[in-house]
Amino acid sequence: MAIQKITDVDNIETVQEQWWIVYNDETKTVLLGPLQCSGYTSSPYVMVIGETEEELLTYIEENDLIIPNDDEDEL
Amino acid sequence: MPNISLTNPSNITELRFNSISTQKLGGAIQSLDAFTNLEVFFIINHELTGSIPDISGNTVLRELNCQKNQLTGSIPDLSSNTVLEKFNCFTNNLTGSIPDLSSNTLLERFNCYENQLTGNIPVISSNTDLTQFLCYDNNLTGSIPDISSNTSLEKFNCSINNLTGSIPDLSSNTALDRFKCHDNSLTGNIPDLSSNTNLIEFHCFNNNLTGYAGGSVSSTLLSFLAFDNILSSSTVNSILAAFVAAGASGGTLILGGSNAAPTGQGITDKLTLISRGWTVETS
Repeated sequence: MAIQKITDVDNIETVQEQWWIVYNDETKTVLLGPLQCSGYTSSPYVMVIGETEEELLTYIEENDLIIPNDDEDEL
Repeated sequence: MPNISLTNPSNITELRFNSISTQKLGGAIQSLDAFTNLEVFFIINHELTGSIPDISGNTVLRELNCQKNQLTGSIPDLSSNTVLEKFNCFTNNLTGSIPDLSSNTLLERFNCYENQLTGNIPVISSNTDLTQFLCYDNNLTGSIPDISSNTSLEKFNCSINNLTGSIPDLSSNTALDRFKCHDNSLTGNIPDLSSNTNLIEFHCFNNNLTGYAGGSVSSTLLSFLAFDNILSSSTVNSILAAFVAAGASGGTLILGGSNAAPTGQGITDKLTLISRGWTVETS
């Protein structure tokens, strides 16, 4: 169980088994994920990589990050 | 649900049961037959069980909102509800298929996501006032219907189902701001999005898409997730080029996973987008 928080996201490699998010540290908003996708990522925001989705959901909760739901219907 | 005695139910036009966290209503929704002038039925975020009652006698019903309960059974026939504008029954345990919506010509929102619905997405070509059609996270099969008549459509989300076939032509959907069809088994091309000048999010990841029809993308399109498809290097390059040409800053473009890696100018375009503050991921 290891979470990596990367603040200089410059061509960071992820493999298919890993889960990751990208979030804006100023607004505390999750911009992407949690998702599993292999490849090379660059971003001006913060990237967090974990081994399971649950790890990242816990990270999101513990750090008071917001996952916006644009599909939630207005009342 | 408590037995609420009403002496003249036919005089009631609105029934609203807002949720208070410590006082959840349970049980089944009783018959609404006596509420012949009911326009709004709103009972959200409770612990209701049983099925949605027959509403064929509620012919002036404009809004049915039973979201976030524990309702089971199928969605009732809606063919008599010809003035229905909003049908929101998402986040329940509904089964069966989505009913025929061809009589609901004033329908603006149909949101039945997070249920266990099966069968096809119905034809929605008569629902020309539709702004929102959200049916994600069900067990729907068949293909995404033609939505070329739905020119008011702003949000369409059919992700996390078992849909096959191709993504339909979106060139008439100029009001569209969010289109999501990820986590299905769709094939064919990502469509030309050059007419979708209000599009903000387009998510088609985790499908079997093989190409991109080409064309420009709007500078409003700031979230494009197409990873884990079967896109070739030339297709990935074309997508990167379209976003460079759009000239926007600060978006998210995710093209990795099972797609091929960009090559040549595609690599340069990826770096250009990164320099504009984009989050970009490729294989």
